[in-house]
Amino acid sequence: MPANTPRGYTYPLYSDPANFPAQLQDFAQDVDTDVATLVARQTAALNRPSARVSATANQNVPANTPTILTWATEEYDNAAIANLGVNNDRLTLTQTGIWLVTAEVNFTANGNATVNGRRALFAPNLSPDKAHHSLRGSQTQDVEMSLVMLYQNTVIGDFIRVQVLQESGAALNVSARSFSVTKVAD
Amino acid sequence: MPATTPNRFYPYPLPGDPTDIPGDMQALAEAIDEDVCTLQTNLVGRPVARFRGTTPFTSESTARANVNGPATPYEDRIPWNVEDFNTANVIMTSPDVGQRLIFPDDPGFYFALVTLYVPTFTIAGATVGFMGLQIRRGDFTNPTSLVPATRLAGCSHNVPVDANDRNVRVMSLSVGCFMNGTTDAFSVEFRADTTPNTSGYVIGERTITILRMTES
Repeated sequence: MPANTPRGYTYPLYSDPANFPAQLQDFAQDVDTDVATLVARQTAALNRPSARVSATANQNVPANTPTILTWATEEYDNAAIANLGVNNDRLTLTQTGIWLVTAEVNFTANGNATVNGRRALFAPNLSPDKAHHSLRGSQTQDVEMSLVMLYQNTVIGDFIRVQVLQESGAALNVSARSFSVTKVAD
Repeated sequence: MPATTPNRFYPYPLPGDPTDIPGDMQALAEAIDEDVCTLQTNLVGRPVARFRGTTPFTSESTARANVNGPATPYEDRIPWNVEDFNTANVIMTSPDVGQRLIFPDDPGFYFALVTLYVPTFTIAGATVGFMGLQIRRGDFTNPTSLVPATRLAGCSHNVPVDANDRNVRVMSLSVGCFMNGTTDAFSVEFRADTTPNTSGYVIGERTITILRMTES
C-alpha cells in the first residue's frame, strides 16, 4: 500500500510489490499536478481580475438630486465584471477579496452664478457610504474629480456604482468619465 | 520509449522500456529540478515602478483655461527625471522632448497614481482660479504628437491658491487602464488658469506610481 508525502506525492513502501515504471509514473504525475497548480496560482496572481468602463456622452445631473452615473464603453474586462448590456451603471465584483476601485468624473459648467459643491462617491450595492469626494464648483470651468478606495468584498456578485450630486441650482452635465476596479488581494 | 506527464512533461518509463532505475530517476529528478527553478525565478512580487519630477516646470501661458486642448504636447505634459524603483519594465522616455512620457514596455492592465505639488502662485496681482491635472494616453512611438492623447482621468481645483488655501496645492489623481506595451504611454498634464492671464505657472515635485495588475 503506497504512502504519500504531505504534499500528496505517492511513493512505495518496502512491503509493496516492485513495479518501478508504474510507481515512478504515479510519483511523476503527483508532482506534475502539484506544480501545475502552483503555476496556475502564480499566473492568477499576476493577472488579477480587472475592468475599466468609460463614457463621453453627456449625462444630465439635476440639481440636488443624487444621480447614478452610467457607462457606455467596456475598455477592459478579464473577469466578467462589466456587463453594460444588462446593467450599464455598475461593475460587479466576481470574486471576494480586496479591490482597488477608482473613478473620475468631469462636471461641465452650466454658467450659474451659484456654484456650491460637486460631489462624487462610490456606492457599493445600494448603500452610498464609501469614499466620498467633494469640490467647490465653478461657474465657468469644468470640475474634474478623482476617487479611489480599497474595498473588501465578501459576497460574490456585489456591485459598485458611482453616484454624483451637484448643488449649482440648475441641471448640468457630466461628460467624460471612467470607472475601474482591480483585485489586489484575496 | 518514455512517456511524459500531461502538464509539466516530466518523463517516466513505460512497462515495456528497458529497466534503468538510476537513469529514469535522474531524468525525472532533473526535469522537476529545472521546472521548479523556472517556477522560483518567476515568483516575483507585483511589478511596480515610481518616477519623480524634481526640477521646476513651467506650464504654458494661462490664457488657455482648459486642460483639454493644448496646441502642442509640450504645453501641458509634465517632465520626469528620477526613477525611484522599477520592477515593471516601465521606461521614462523620449529624452529629446524632455522625458514627458512614461511607457510600460509590457502590455497589461495598470493602476497609476499621480501626485503633484503646486507652489503658491507668486506673481503679484494675479490669482489662481483653476488648476487641472489629467492623465492621458500618449503615443510612445510618436512623442511629439497629441494624437491619440486620449484622456484617461482628471481632477481639478477651483479654489484660490494663496497663503490661505489650506494646502489644496497637493493634487492627486488615480486611474486604472489597459496599456498595450507597444505605443501606449502615460502622459501627465497640468493646466492652471489665472486672473489676469500670466506667462506660466511653475509646479514643483511630482510622482507617478505604476502597478501592473495583469500580463495582457
